[in-house]
Amino acid sequence: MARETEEHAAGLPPRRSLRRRLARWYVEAEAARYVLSASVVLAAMLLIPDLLNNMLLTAALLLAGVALLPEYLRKHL
Amino acid sequence: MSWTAHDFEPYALQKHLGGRVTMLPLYIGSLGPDMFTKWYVYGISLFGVEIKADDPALFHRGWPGAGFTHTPLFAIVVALLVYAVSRHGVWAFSLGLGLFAHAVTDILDTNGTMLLFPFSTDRVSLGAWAYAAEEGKHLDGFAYYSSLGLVADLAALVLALVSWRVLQRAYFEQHVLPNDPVMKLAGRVLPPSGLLVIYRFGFVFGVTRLLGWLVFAHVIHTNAFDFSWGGPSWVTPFR
Repeated sequence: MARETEEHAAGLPPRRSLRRRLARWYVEAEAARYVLSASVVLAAMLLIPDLLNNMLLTAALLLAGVALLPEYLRKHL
Repeated sequence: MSWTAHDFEPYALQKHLGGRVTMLPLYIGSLGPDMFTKWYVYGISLFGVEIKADDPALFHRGWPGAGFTHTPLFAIVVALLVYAVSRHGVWAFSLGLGLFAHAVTDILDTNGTMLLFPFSTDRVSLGAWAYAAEEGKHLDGFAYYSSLGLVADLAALVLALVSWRVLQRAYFEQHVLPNDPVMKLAGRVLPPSGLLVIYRFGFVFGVTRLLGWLVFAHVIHTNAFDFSWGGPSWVTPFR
């Protein structure tokens, strides 16, 4: 109860909010993170075909989606 | 040339060679010869000026040109140089093996590679699919993903999938991380999951661009499949 009050005071959403549950799922589901991030890369490549074969775009989006965003969410869950 | 086959091959090599190789230099070697040459082969436009090789096929694989990057000799020289500088045998061997694998895989198209360079500048070619890089990146991709090149990429994907154990986190932590000083260095700025992304990058990149090209060439555009030797017949190949 005290923890929830602290979180409420810190401006975090209620523990059972959809946003929090989604964030927790995203942090825990590693395979889904890869699939989602790769899908974003694929969508970008198809929207802008000159990005097909673009390693930098893929590396940046994969690092952000699979590693850095979950680290951020883990710290703020 | 081969496309995503170069992304998948390192995982099969990692599976078979275990601790004697490490992924990062293997992958850099596997893609390296094209990383530094393809932009000039396809050409770029800079402030309205097009910068492109006069003879893309010769520049890419021949001599004079940058074709020496697609030769076993180049793989050996680079491996020796890296070893001389770093004294890290696994890194040097992995980089050389990646470069060697690239040179050998590229004999499958109609352009081929100078396997016997510098003793001979003749290009060894099996001619399984048309080399069409001089037609530009998009037409090159359309031709490749309509020909036996697609079959080669799918075969390389199967090889990588058969090697699925090396893609696991446990394998990475037990066999790759302790062997690779560059990964350890990267660990100072990236979380462990970030290092794993770097390790798995080639596989994910390969799958993504394989799917991307297939959709781009056969769903968004219409290009006829032609799995005949040296195809597709609708593109003028370099021979």
